[in-house]
Amino acid sequence: MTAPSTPPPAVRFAAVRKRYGDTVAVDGVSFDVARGEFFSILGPSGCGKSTTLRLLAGFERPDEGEIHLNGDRIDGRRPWERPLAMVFQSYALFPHLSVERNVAFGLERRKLPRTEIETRVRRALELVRLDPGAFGRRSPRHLSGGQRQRVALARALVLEPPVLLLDEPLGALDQKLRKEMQVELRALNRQLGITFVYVTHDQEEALAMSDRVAVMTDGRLAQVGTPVEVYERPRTAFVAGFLGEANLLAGDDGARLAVRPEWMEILRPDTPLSSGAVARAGEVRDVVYLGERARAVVRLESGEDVVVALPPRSAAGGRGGWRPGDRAVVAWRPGDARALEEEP
Amino acid sequence: MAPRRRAGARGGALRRRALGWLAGHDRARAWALLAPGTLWLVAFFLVPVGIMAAYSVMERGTYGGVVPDFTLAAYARFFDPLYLRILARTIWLAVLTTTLCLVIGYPMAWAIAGAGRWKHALLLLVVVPFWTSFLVRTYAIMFLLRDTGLVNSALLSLGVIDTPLTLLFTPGAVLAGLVYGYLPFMILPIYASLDKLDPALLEAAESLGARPAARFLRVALPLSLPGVVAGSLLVFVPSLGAFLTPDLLGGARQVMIGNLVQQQFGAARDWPFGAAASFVLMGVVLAAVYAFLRRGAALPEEV
Amino acid sequence: MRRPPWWVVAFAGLCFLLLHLPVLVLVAFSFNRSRFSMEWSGFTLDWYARLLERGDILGALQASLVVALASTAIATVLGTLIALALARHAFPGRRLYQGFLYLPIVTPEIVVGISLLVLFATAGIQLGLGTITIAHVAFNISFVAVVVLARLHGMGGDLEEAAMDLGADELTTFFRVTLPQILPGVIAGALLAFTMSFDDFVITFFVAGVGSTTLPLLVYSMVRRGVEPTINAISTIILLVTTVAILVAYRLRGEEGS
Repeated sequence: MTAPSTPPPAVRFAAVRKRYGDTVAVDGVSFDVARGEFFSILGPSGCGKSTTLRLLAGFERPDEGEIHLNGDRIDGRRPWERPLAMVFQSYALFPHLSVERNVAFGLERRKLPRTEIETRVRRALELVRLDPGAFGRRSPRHLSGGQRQRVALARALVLEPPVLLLDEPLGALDQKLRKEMQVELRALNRQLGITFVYVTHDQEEALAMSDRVAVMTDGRLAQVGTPVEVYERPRTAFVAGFLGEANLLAGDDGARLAVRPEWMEILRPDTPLSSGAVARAGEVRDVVYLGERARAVVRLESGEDVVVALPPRSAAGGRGGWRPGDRAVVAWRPGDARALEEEP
Repeated sequence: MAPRRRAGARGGALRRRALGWLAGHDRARAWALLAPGTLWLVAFFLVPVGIMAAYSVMERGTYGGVVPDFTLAAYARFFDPLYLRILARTIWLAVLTTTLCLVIGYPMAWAIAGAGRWKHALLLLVVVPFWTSFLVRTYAIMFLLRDTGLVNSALLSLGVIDTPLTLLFTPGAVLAGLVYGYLPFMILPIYASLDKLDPALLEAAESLGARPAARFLRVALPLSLPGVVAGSLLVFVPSLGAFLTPDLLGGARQVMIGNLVQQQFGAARDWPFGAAASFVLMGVVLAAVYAFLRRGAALPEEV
Repeated sequence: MRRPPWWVVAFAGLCFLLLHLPVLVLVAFSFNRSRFSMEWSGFTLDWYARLLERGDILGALQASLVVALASTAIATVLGTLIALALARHAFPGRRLYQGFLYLPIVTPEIVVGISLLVLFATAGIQLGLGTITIAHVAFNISFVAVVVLARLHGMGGDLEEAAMDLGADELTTFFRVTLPQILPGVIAGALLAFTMSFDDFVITFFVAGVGSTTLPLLVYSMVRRGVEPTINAISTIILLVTTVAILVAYRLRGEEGS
């Protein structure tokens, strides 16, 4: 073999399958994660995303396929032989050990000298913005959810792993703390150059943080791409529907089309159309005001219901606003309608 | 309480008075519920133990019974090396029993906790002998260990030995009986603590580089210690007070404190000394309970 | 918890076997024709038939059942009342009382038995089935109270409050709401008390008088005289009775948990 000119990917899944009894949890999944990338696996619960992460961590062994880490095949190795670190959904902090000892746990397993462990533990706590003096000797049971999250992160980062696995790490935090941690995780990923593999069911979180998103359903990858790609050009009806909102319409040639509400325009019946636009007539069934945005549900003459974006003010009542029962024309540019692939 | 809430609807002084009365009433009802059982426990547990306490500081009567003169002679007698040896043997056997139960019971508890859908069936297999007759189980051990028992027959027919071994009426037989009798007490609390152990903690340890040995010693074992302490308490305490096991399996030479107490009230007719021995035993038991509970309570807080 | 390494499983399996071997051997040999040897010389029910011929065994069985039933009934009522008081009412010294409740459980049986013997002797009370029953109630109250208390703690007082808010008086509430809910716990406590009483040897040994021999006392005296197959047969029957009681209690506790 000749040496490749580019370094091997940080993570490579090649046709990995994992089944439990009759159910196939991961069904021939292949993807590459580049070094330093923030890579999210997104999907509903039971789609196989957690199993994928557990296969990578080594808690499960694949039935078929290969898993590589920085060019080394690792699917035969036990979890403790893999140079990875993981942040668990429940944080999995050791309740019988202090914050310091939790963070030191991995370093102690590597038999590093005492002084080096102490230095690195302190640095790791500072990295996640926990004061080592104030928190080091505390028990994790006496910490808030956000603080536990940071300890779990420090415990993984202190090992300086090439790849960090995160299993829905923000799931247990409240909305505000989540947003803060999203920004911090993204910053840590950039600052440390560590590859992040991040599992979540929250599409907004995945879009906000990731370099690339893998959308997973029924054990398969439906689409892998940048947030813009997967949102703007969903390949399947599942991707279109799981990431944001999408209207699924029958095209002229029988193909299925996806059009997002904000790509559509709602007009009064007598308004002139811009040239080339596709227009369908219908009746407003419902108007929903959501603060920074608004939606109208329009029943087309074909019988299909579509959801259309409105300027929020025009849904707020008052003159010129839309009301249920209004006749309307829904229009979009043909280029915005995405033809969908059939799902397997 | 609902009545209180209803009274709370009215205001001011009346309400305060009503609340006070109802609180008193509540207390009265509590005592009414407690009274019959408490009276029974006082009359047939506390009072007898109190009488024993009184007897332990009296002179012995010639034909059993006591003479009501205060003396600490019975307790002083306990310092005779003969009796100190019995005390030491008792504690030593209880320690050995607890240790053996731990060595055998921990792996069993671990195997049950890890047995998936067989867990409840296996648990039942531990619970059932736990509640079946202690006397019958002690007899079962006798049946196995006697000169013509299954163990000797098997060893003889295998040609390992030529003449039957004396297995019964040895310290080993007492130990076997105690371990056999109290093993389930060790298994159940350890099982409970292992069963509620979060599997993610073990995976976290692995992903941090812990091999199976470190994973067990650094995570699973420390987190199951409260179960170990509770199990040790449940084995150690009844082992200290054992009477039937040394009586049937130990014979005359393997006497424990329980047998000493019985002898003093029986053949020896020295009630004060028997009572004093009872209180020495109670003292050791309560000290052990206190020590284990303190240890158990301190453990989860230990950092 | 996942499966431990194979050698732990193997060791545990061996221990499981050893845990049950003595009793299984005992049961097996209650059907062995040979009287003395450990050789298997054919199946027989002779030893059971012989039990029926012995009046003392039937008498002891009857004494055991009378004592167990009487003491279970009394201890179940008294223990349940204590549990209700502890779970539903605040009173000063409740924690202390709970500690006191555990005292009869941790006190060595020999001490309980001898103390009662001394009490009865001092008070001049005739030893017999009455004194045995009194003693069994004394050690069973705590067990019943602890079991029922666990059940009461598990269910909270919302339904009772709701019933009283709807105008039910306290007695009606107790019989219509509280009792049906705690009944599995009460029955489990009663079955526990029954097996404890039926099996008890040490305490009974001290408070029994002439002519009040229970089954364990009879088995003990037979064992002291020497091992013989009829003991295996009685033991097998005792094991059968207690195992059934335990399985029923376990079943009820299981339903309570779900």
